[in-house]
Amino acid sequence: MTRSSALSTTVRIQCHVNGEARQLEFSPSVRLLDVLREELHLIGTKEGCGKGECGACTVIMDGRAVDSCLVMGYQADGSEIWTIEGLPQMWEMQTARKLHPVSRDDHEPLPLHPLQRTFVECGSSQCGICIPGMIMSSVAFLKENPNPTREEIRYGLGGNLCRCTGYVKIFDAVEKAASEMRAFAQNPSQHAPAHQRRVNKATPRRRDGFVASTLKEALKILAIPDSPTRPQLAGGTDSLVRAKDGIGQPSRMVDISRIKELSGIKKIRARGKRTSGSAYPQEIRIGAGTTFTEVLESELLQKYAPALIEACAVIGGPQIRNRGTLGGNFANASPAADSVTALMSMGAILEIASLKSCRQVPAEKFFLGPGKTVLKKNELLVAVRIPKIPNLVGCYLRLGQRRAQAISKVDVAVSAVLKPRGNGSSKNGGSLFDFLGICYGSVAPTIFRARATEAVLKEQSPNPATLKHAKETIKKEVQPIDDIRSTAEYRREMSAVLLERALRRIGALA
Amino acid sequence: MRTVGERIARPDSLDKVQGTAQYVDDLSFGAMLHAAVVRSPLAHGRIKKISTAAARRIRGVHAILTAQDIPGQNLIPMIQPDQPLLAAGEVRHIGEAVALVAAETKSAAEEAARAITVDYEALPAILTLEEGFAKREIVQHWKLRRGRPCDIFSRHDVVVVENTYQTPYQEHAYIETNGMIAVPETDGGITVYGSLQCPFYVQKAVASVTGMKMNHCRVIQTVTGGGFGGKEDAPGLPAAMVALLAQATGRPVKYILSREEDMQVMSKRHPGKIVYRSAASHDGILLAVDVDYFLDAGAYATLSPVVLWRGINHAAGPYRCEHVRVDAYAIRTHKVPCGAFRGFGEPQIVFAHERQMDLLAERIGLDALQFREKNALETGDHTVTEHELKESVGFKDTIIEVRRASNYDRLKLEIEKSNGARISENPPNPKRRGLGWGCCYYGVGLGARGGYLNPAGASVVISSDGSVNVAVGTTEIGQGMITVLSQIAADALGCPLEFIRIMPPDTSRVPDSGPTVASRTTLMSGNAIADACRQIKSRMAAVCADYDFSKIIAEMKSQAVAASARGETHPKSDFHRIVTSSYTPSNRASGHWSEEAWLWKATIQRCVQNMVQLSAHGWAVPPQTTYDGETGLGDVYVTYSYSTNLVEVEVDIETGETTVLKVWTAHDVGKAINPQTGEGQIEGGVVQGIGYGLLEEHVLATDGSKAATRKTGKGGPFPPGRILNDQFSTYIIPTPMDIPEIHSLIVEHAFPYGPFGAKGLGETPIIAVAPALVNAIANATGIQLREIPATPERVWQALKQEASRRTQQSPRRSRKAASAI
Repeated sequence: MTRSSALSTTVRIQCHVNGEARQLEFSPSVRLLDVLREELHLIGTKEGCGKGECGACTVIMDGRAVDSCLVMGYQADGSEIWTIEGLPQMWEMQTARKLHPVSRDDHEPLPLHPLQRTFVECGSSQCGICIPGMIMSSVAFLKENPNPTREEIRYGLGGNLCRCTGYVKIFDAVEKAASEMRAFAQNPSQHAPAHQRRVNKATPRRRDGFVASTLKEALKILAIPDSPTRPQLAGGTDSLVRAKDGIGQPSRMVDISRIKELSGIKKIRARGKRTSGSAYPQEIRIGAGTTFTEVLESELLQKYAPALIEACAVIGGPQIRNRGTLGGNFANASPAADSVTALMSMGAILEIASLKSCRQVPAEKFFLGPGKTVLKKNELLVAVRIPKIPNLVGCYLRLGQRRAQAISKVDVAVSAVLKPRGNGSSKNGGSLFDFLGICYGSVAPTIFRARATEAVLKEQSPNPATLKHAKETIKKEVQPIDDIRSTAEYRREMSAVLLERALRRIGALA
Repeated sequence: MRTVGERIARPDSLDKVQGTAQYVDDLSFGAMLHAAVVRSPLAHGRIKKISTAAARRIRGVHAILTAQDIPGQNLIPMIQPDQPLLAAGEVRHIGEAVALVAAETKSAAEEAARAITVDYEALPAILTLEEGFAKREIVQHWKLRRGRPCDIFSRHDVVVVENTYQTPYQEHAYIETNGMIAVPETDGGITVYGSLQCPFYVQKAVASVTGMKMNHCRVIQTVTGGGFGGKEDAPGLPAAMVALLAQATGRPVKYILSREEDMQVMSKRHPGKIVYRSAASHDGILLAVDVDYFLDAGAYATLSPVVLWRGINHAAGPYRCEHVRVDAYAIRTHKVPCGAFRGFGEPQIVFAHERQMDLLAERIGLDALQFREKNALETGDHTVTEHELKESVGFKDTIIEVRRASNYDRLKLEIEKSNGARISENPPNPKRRGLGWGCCYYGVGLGARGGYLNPAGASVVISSDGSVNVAVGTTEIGQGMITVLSQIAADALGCPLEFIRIMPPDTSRVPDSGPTVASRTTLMSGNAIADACRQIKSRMAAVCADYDFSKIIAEMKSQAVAASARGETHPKSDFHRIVTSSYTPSNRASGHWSEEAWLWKATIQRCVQNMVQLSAHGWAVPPQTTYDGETGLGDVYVTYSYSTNLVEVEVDIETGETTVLKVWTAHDVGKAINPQTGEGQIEGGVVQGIGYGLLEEHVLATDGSKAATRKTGKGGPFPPGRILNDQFSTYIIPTPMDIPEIHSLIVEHAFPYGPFGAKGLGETPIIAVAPALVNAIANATGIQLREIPATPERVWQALKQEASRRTQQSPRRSRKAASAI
């Protein structure tokens, strides 16, 4: 990789790896995966695809499973990282139980994490290349959910591919380990809080220009005309995948994932009248750096953004949800950005900042085409605001090529407030809806709000003829194409099928 | 204590769960260089000029090689040696290697590869099987002639079904891509380490291009992250590349393919086309089949002739059928060469014959299962190649087992009832359940055309402490070879399992043992080990028979206790501490070892003192097979494994989406040496079969204009013939969320020649899953797909066509159907 002389040739970070403090220095173009494998010789972390599609390189970073091929080395600054090699140590810390590497006694515990042992006992590894990633993902989700159902295990491993085992014996091993780990957890005397204590995160500092720690800092870089670097790296789940395909250089990206102003989900007072529907006195402001996992964990959003929750739940696999952000989903401007469809259906407004000014753009007006947005070179997407609408119902439906790690072929989000039943309106004429937003993804150059279809549903009384009319309307409103995922014809028809299913799900059909 | 038949944990798994197993990318050698490859962007073209000057100037570049720099033959030795390592004059598929680079870093090598410019003159390319056949680009043509099929098809009292079937490319999608390291040795030899299935194929490829003697080309298999056939012949290419670069630079060279490169250029399952006509009597006897079978071989022959040969030998399925005509062709096209993939030419034709069986049953008015049972091969029957089955025919038992485990007769009624209820729900439930059968058999081993590749060797060496080194020429690729062969060695020697170590395959250690393919490893390497162990055992018996070991044992125990008191520990591995808790409870009072272990150690001590040779080379040659090239008849394989699958699916008739709910899958394996690894093979194969049936295919750019519209998210347009989906987000394999409940059932009809009665299991699990799925979709919805994968788009199209067909046929019925939907 050629480097501009203006850029540093190495970057230095501090982090904890497998419980040990480390100071590392490496090239800014290397990924966390390379740092682990080449600098620290932790070869248990494997590379299967380099694009976050197989999960073989899964490690735990600050408590969550991530694909280490989609984290730049410099993004690990101040982080706590665990790899497969550190699991016995992690288990020792959790259970305050010394594991003996060499033991004379068969009854003493082996130097293995319970998951490692059950993977041996259940015959869960065949070629074994995916196994470290499988185990790391399992460790991460068992921490959140120590007593998972079989279905939850499948969901927790959704970001990990295996080609040998058919997964059955992997599920067996996770189930078995979980029950053993619960037995330990139930005995608090054996439970040491050591690992729970977060390793103090190093204060984000300027890392030779690779990390922007404040919004102002990021905007300043953006304000430089023809700056060789660009503050664009958040979760890396799109930008680093594109970089692998030769579009963009990671060493020219600036990490914005540590910027406080880009995080947080909170209620705020509405500013000004909205472009659609009636004004609501309160809004929810979601920082652009919010990850899909953080969305899923937010009680506020669970209550006021049902379509968004459903959308975020099916994005990628756990590793992608742990890193990918709402802001990135918008800025990447893919026609298949699941969270965007949902947010747009709620009438989201985007906050866009530059060093000198700040502006607001409705989500609907943000996209100019595939990969193209209204963002100017000196601007950064700062937050997404949605109205806090009482009694909002919503749902998100999609068709993908498979059930996890899938890109949508067609997806729809519907957010609505239904008029209270028996208030006269629904019988003859009059709308069933106080608020209605219908958005589609993957069936047009950009995600779009299906205004004509909304109009049909809002203006006509709810009956089978209206539904038919709405389905015909949406088939005209979409502009799908043939691509490697699906056909235009199928997408068009499915837009109508999903419309009916979504309306039924939110209770808008009898 | 016998270990064969026990669920012994895998010895190789301990390294794998700790992350300490060393795959090829985990190895590095001092002063190691990295390779990159310049590849053809065209499906067919003439190389006019290769300019390397700019690339040579890049810092860190040590070697740039083109075809003219190859010291040996520019040829990969295979059945019909036609494939050059580096294109000379002409490129014949996209991704064909044109030049090699070795540089200090991977990025320097890649930069140099980009800096090499190649001028091509584009030539017309053959991109479809049909075009290749029309131009008589035939790599191989096999015939099978039995009985008088014409007479049957001209009869008026038979039911005839004829269809044309299409099957897609399938990617092996091993999670570890191909990779190799070549290390020059001081004596002028080269050692190649890599991810591979067949060390002896790699050895031949390296010797061919380097011009070195085979004994100077040493190949060592590293822990291999999946093969499935994809690392059978194909690794010869990267191995030969790094060997040439190591030879040229005198330094170790590493080459690991990226996922995209691996998907673009390495081998795949052949796309197939099968024109299949079958005839049966009205009372349900399969009488005749008449088949034309085509495989798209790609640009070079590689293994296509034998892939095709296996297909033709199984053309009518595990059924009696006396009148047969099959013509099978492998067609040359300007696409990536296809090769071995689990099932090896069977999945394509099995998809066709198992669809035909359902369609015939329907026409006759028999249940799909009944029809199969009526025609199922049994002991004393003849296969399609007139091979008389004298023993180990467990096919009917696999059917019986599946029927019992699934409670088929009740399940069938229950599903019919539930589908009826769903139609009348308000709003109507669009999901329909269905059941589908798929059966197959598989000739174990290479068969009559395997020739000198058929035998296998093994070396067994016992050390003075009783521990045993076993070396074989076949490989562990995840399938469980190490485990199964450890068990065979332990039982054949009569020693505890923990004393056995299976060595990493190394061509300098054992004679050519053929490839690790064709579900032959347990059978052939197992027998070779058993042969070596028999030799040692008979020597041991000479000094140990009737000997009273109690004194030696008592002495050894007291020494051990004394050593223990001094603080010395016993060399017992962590692995055995895990597995032996359920296997041989250790006896701490006697100094850790079990009584059985003490006896073994004492025996070895006595043999050592009596100067008994405690080592042997084993050799296994399979029983005679026969083949007549004119008729295609003969006892083509030593024996067959059998399998039956029943799948339950749910089809959404509005979206065309198929969910696999349950799979019951039974396999006659002769003897399951280790039921746990056996189940692992079955579950993995079934899930790969689900991928083949529902999800997986390659999409190729057809022409410039269409390519432009087929957006891949990576730009374009792409040249005709280029694979558009070359990564895991676009080549879709099943995730943990896509798999059904799988009930694995093992049937054991012992094969007398096999070690402990074992046959082979590696491949049967994948073969008949796709037809079972499509049969189930037909059962659920009434649509008859003739093409896989059964994507929602295809199912939905077929449902639409079926609905409009019904409308044309009977307006009244269609209204009813419409309201039902």
